[in-house]
Amino acid sequence: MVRVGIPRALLYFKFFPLWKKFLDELGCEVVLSPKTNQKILEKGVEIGFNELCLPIKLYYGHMAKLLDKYPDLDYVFIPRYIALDTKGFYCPKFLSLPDAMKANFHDMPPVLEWEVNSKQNLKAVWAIAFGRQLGMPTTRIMDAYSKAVHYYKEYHEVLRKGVPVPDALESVEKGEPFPDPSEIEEKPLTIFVLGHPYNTFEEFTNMSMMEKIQEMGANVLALENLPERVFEHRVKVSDKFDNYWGNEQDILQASNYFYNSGADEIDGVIFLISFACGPDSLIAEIVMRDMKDRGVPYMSLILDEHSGNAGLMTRIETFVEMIKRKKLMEVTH
Amino acid sequence: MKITFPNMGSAIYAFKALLEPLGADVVFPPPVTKETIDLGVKYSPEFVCFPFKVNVGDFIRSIESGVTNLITATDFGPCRFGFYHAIQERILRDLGYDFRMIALPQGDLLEFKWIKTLDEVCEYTGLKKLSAAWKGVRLFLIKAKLIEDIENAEGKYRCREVNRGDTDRIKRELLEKLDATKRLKDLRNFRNVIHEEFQKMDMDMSFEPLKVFLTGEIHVTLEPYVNRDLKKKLGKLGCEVTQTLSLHDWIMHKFHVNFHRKEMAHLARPHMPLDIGGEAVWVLGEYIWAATHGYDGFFHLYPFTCMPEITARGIITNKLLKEYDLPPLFVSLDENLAEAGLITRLEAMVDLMHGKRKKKNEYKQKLNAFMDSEKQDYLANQQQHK
Amino acid sequence: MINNCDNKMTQTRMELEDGSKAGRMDMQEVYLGIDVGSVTIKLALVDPSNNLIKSTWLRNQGSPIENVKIGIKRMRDELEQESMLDSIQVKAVGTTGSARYLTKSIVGGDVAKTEIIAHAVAAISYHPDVRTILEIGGQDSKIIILRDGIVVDFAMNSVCAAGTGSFLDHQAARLGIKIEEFGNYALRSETPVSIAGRCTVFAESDMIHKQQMGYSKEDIIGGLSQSLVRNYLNNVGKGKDIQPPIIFQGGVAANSGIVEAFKESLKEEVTVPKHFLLMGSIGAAILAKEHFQENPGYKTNFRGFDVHDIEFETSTFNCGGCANNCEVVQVKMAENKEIVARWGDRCGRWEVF
Repeated sequence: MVRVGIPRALLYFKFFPLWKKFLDELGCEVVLSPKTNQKILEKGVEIGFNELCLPIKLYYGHMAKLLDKYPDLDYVFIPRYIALDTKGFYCPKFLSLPDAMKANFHDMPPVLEWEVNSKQNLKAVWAIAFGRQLGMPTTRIMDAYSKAVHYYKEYHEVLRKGVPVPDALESVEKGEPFPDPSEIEEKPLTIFVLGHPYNTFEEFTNMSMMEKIQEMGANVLALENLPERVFEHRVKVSDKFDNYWGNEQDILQASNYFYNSGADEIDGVIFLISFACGPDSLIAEIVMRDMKDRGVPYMSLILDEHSGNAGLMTRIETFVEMIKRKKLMEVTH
Repeated sequence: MKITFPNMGSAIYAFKALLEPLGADVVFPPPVTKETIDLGVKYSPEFVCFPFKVNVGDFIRSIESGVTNLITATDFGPCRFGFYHAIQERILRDLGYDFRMIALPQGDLLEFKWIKTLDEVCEYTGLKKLSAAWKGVRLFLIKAKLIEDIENAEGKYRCREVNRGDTDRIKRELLEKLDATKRLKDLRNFRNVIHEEFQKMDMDMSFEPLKVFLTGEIHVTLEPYVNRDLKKKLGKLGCEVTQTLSLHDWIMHKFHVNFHRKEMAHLARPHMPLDIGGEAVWVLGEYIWAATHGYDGFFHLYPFTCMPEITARGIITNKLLKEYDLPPLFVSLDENLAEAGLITRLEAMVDLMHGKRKKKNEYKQKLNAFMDSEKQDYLANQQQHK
Repeated sequence: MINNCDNKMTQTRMELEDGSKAGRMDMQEVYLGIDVGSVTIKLALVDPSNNLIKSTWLRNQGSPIENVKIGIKRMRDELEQESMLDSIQVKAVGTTGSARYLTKSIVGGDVAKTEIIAHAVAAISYHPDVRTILEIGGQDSKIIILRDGIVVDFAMNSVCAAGTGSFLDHQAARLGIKIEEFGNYALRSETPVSIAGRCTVFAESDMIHKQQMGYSKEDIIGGLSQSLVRNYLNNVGKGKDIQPPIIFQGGVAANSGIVEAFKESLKEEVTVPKHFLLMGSIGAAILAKEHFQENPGYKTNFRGFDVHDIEFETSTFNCGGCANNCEVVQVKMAENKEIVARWGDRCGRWEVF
């Protein structure tokens, strides 16, 4: 059986169910690097130089760990997401991810590159090109791909019902059926945690902040849990200009939704940003200005490898406390 | 109608040539100073790349001096540049300024979207015929090329100048002359003028300079205040600077007729098969090119956290450096760069290049000496046989 | 739920106003606030109308547990000297600062809140109309934006420690002047030099460079003050709507040079409150008071002023449960080996507070 290794970082948090199902159907065995821990982080920081963003450093760390843990891999899977629709681009670091990895890990097993560029071709065509690298016949690839797409849709439906992403991903990894959405205890506050999935669900670097906010007595909402209608229309940054970053589109859509109609559904927005993230440095500015106009409490948290637990928790605690006090005042007056 | 644009080194003379025939009263932006940077840093997002902040500073200073029509380029690429105008406009509006922002799309010039923008400018100036734009475009392209020539000569000759400041004076005079020339036919002979002017300068032709290649992100590389006059500093340290990057180079690329860039992209292809924005692909190509054409050093300038350029940097340090062994110096620029540290690094780099060249020469001498002795042995052998 | 809570609050407030009049005859009710910062520990005793009765502060060098104990002992001794110890009754204890949870476990605190909230609460109680609080402490700096007496926005320094007290201490020592004189030097500067730097390391190297170029101490310090303020406003204060009245508190507020630099760049009046150093601890005490008043019949966990006599044992062990191999710290009471606090693990398996 062909053994394919995937680093548990970056777009793993977004596309893993699709990749996993597809590779499974193509008859590959998928192995992952372990969950992020101190050693992986340290290794990533050691390899990547300091101006890179934390998620890329983690990708380096995971890649090193993967190669170290499974020396007998047949292939390493590295995605190259260029564009998911005809209008957009991913961030340059995604565009060159396989190149950056090849430049650093010199004796890597052959790389399975999943290139997706919807500007040029349909996604299915790219999937076929991908499957060809494994020497599969086109019909089988098509079949596997349609199953994978179906599975990925199911996965998203489960998330919308309120299953947390980490739980769903775990069941995908184990090949188990998706967990049922647990009863959500209604709390007086709802905090929307905005950010890329590799920041919001990377529990090691964000100190499990989702859970901690819940412990402080607030519901946590993530992008993935929002209803489908939020993501129906493309959002324009200004009337003349369209957003081109694929991985920022849903953030803008969510922000737009809360700006227009959903402002009452949440009490505050926390935007998780990795230090040196290019797209976020601009998008956060838009979200910040939108939320300010709307009067929704907003806070951005910058994640990097130095961000100490204490500082992060102080900010979150203060933010939740601030909203609680604000609500209390509103009720009194 | 008064119109202005952000600073980008001597390229502003070309922008002026583009807009003037459209009937606009073109005003140069106030030159970049500490005040510009302070303003930009104050009102821009904290972690945005440096050119954004400099532009914001430029715009604020222009608007406060009374010029309220701003024209700026925009792209549709993966890096942050494409977002500049939209977010800058919002920041300036939130500050309460009243102005008009005109975006000039230059993602692919063969799509000719820019004609629409020029038409828009014509509309504002009240000029009815767009045909004037044709003259503007021709003037723009020719002047951009001539500016490139002046800059290249500057990089080449500064290290040889005998009287300090000659190069700067000649460059300034030439640029002023170029700016004053408004007719196409007067520009015909300008290339020769550039050549002659620089030849008049006192030069130490016996001096053997270090050959260095300078490249990087276009805004920080072209704007001298932003890159702390790096080109001048290198010249003074005795380096002959080659810089193929210029506005003309960029425009030609966007018209798909830049064969130099195509060659560079071809060289970089094994290491990066696609354009990821910024100058990343060409930087890689240029590194390989410089390494195989006898250069002593490679200088890569980019704004702090620039996404495409740091990817290129990673590939150079992790892979190309081992293969090609050309010493690179990476300068990441933002408002926090202390000049003292930069000078130290430049001087250290120059020493390193000298050391490397000396070693290379020694090796060459040794090789030659060895070859000579071999040759003599051979000849002696031959004679014995005779 | 909030509604109920609030009704209770107003009710108790009324009861208390009556009660306190009667209570003053025998025992004065007080609330203790402890602010355990990275550089100093501040303690404050506050009466029900938020007046400061007694305060003390000490440097936090070495173990915070020992220092908190010393602080409490010091306060006890002072109270004893003035023979106030028997006439007061501590109703509740609030802790704040980076070691708030640990301190809460050690002294038997009732509430532990972040220093941002504590600072805001204290500032509001003295200046009810405050709209902006600038706070610079030993290791970090904050900005708090308030409207109508509630916090609406805040920020903490994220990448830069160059504006904080420790850095100033260090630089003063390097320039060979006393930190107390730092402000005067800055005020004497006529043409402050410009100093660049993202973080302490760069700012320092640029400063050394300027020094070697022969600038006067006054101008370097003046430039440093300006660059700190600029850095603060560009990092911590970025995008914040800074409106007067502005209050500047925290240890660095003692530095008149920085205060002047703030006034200059904000072009607004900047007020330094009387107890600028103690605001965190006063806020913690007020928060404790609020907690006490919100829960009628609440009994404090405070171990009493004799807490310094209790011996605590601190030990560490490596968990080894996963690849992180966290170092877990635990504090036990020496007497009965009861675990008071345990922290340091990422997963929460060992955590006790």
